[in-house]
Amino acid sequence: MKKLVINGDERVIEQLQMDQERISFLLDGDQFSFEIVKSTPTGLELKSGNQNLKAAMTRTSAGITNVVIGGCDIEVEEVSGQRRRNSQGGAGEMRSPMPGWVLKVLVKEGDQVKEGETLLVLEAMKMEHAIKAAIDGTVAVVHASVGDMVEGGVELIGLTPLE
Amino acid sequence: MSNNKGRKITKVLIANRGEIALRVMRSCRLMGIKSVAIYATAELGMPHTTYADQGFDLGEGDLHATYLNQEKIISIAQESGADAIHPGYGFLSENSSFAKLVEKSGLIFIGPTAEVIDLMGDKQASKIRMEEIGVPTIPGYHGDDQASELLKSEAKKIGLPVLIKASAGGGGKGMRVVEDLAQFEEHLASAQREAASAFGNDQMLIEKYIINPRHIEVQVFSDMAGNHRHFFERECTIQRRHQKIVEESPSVALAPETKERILASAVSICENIGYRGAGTVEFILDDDQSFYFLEMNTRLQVEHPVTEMVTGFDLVELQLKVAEGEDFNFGQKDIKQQGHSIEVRLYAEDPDNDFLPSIGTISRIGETSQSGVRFDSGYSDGDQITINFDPMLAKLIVDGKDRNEAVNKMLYSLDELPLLGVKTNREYLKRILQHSNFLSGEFFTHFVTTFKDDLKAKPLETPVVAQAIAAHIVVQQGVFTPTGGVAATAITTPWDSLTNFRNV
Repeated sequence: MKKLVINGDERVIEQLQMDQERISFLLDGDQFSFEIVKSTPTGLELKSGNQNLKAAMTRTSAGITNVVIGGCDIEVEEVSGQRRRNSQGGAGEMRSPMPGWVLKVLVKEGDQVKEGETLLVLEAMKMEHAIKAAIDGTVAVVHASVGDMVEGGVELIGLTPLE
Repeated sequence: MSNNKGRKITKVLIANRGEIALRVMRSCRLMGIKSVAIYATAELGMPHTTYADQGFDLGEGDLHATYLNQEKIISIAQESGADAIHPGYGFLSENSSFAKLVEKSGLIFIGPTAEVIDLMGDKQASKIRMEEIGVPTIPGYHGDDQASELLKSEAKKIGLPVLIKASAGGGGKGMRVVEDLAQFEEHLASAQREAASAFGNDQMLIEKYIINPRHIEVQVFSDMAGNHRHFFERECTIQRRHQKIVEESPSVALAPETKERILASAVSICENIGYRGAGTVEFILDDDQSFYFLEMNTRLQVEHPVTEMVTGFDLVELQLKVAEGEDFNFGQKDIKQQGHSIEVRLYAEDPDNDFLPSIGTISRIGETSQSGVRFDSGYSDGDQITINFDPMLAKLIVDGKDRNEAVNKMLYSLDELPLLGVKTNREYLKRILQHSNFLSGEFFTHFVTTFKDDLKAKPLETPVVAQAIAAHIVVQQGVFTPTGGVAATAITTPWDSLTNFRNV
C-alpha cells in the first residue's frame, strides 16, 4: 500500500507488478495496467490495452513528479515526503499568495472585520491583489506596512475569529 | 519617423524583451538586417538576449532603470551603430517623448510621429477628434476637473453601470466597473492608484458601460505617401481582468454591412490624422451592431499574428519598409482575409485561484508539431518567471481553413506543449475553446465571469490519474531519466526499485 497526493487529493495505490515492460497497480480498488512502450528524456509513451497514451513529465524533486496528460497538469507527490509548501495556516492567518509590494494597509490592530472585506492591497506583476478577510473577526496583528516587499506565503495579517 | 525616404535600415535595436523582441528580430533576419538586444542583467541567457546579433546589458534595477530608461537605450543604439529603434509593444512603444528623442538623436523611430502618439495616447483628445471626423464614440465624461464628487455626479448623469478608466491607460490597468454608486469612491481610488503606478498619471474618465459588448479591432497600416490600408478585423472579446486572452480573425460577430463600415471607419481615421506605420483601431460592438471607437494603439499589437495568418503579410517587415520610406506596392484589394486564425495567450497564472500570477522556473516549454501553428515564446527551458515582468509566457497561434479547424488545431497544440514547471492557464484556455458559447459565437467581453462556473476545473478522470501514477512510478523508480541522462542504466535494476516500492 502506498499513498500519493495527486493535485491535492490523496489516493491509495497497491502495486501489483512492475518490470521493464509493464506496470500494474490497484487504484482505489480498480486495477490499471500499462505497457511501457518508450521512455525518452522528454516523455513517456504507454499503452493501456490498445489505447495509446502519451505524457510529458519531469521529476521535480525526489518524490514529486509533474506530468502533463492531454493538456492536464498533474502533480504527483509521495505522502511520506516532508515537503509541505506554503502551509495555509489557520483560518485567521491572511498570507501573501506570492511575493509583491504592499500598496495599502486598510486595517489596524483591534479593527472588527467582516468576511470578504479587503484588508490589504498587494501589487505583484503590475497588478493589484486584494487580501481579503477569510472570516469575521478582529485584527490581532498586522505584519506589513505600505512599501514593504513581502515574500510569498508569509502571514500579513492575523485575525482572531469572532466568538 | 520624419522623412526617411531612401534611408536604408541596416541595424535595428529592439527596445523590448521576450517574445515580441524575438518576433521583431526574426523579421530583421529575413530582411538581412542586423538586430541589437537589450536586457536587464538578470535576464542574460533568455532567448531574446542571445538571438540578436548583439546584446547590451541595461544593468540592474526597476523598469525605469532598464526598459524605460530612454537615454540609456538611445546611447546603446548609437554605440551599437543601429540606425533604427523598434519599440515592440508596451514599455516605450507609445511614449511620444521617446519617439521625439530617438528622432532627435538621428535615429529612426519605428512607429508613427510623436504628434499622432500624443493625440491617440490622450483618450479625451482622441475622442473629440473622432467626433469631429464622424466616428461614433461612447457617451461619457472626459473633463480635466477630477474632483471625486464631480466624477460621481457625472457617473450618475451617464447612468449606471459606468466604467472608470485611466486617461493614459491600456491593458486593463487603472480600470473599474461601477454598478452601485455607493462603491464609486472605493473603485475610483483603486483605479487612480493603479494608474499612477502604471502610467505615472492618475487622470480618470468615465463612460457608459455597454452591457453586452464585443471587442473588435481593425489592423491598419499607412505608408509615407499617404496610402492607408486595413488588414481586416480581429475579435478580442474573450478577456480576463480586462486583458485579452483569446483573439481571432475574422470575427463571427460582424454582419457583412457592419464589417464594411467598421473597416472603412478605421481607414478614415488614418487618413484624417495622417497616420504612418502599423496601428490598431479598437472598437466596442454592441448587440445591435452599432460600434463605438474605443482607442487607437499606435504600435504593433500582441495579437498581430492572427492578422499575419489570414492575410499572409509579415507586419514587422512592412513596418521596417515603411520606416525606410518605401511606399506600398499593393492596393486594398490585394489584401485578402483567408481561412481563420486564433491566438491564445499562455500566462504563468492560476485561473482557478483568481488568476494569481505564478512564479518559478519553467523547466520545459516544448514545441508543437503541426503545420499552420506558430508558437511565439520569450522563454526557454530553465528560465525564471519573476514578478518583475508581465506574466505572459508565450502565444500560440493557429491557422485553419475555417473556425472549426482552427479550434481543433489549437486544442491539439495546447495538449502537445509540455509547459512544465509553473502553473499556466493552458487548461483554462481549453475550457474556453470548448465552451458551447465560444463555439456558437455567442459571447461578450464578460464571458469569463458570465460562465465562471462552466470554466471551473473539473476533477481528474480516474484513467488520467492512473496514467499519471504510472508516469510517476517510472520517473521516481529511475527507469526514466527526464534530465536527459541515460535511462538504460536504470532499466538494468528495476527489481531493486520494485523492492523499494513494496517496502514503502
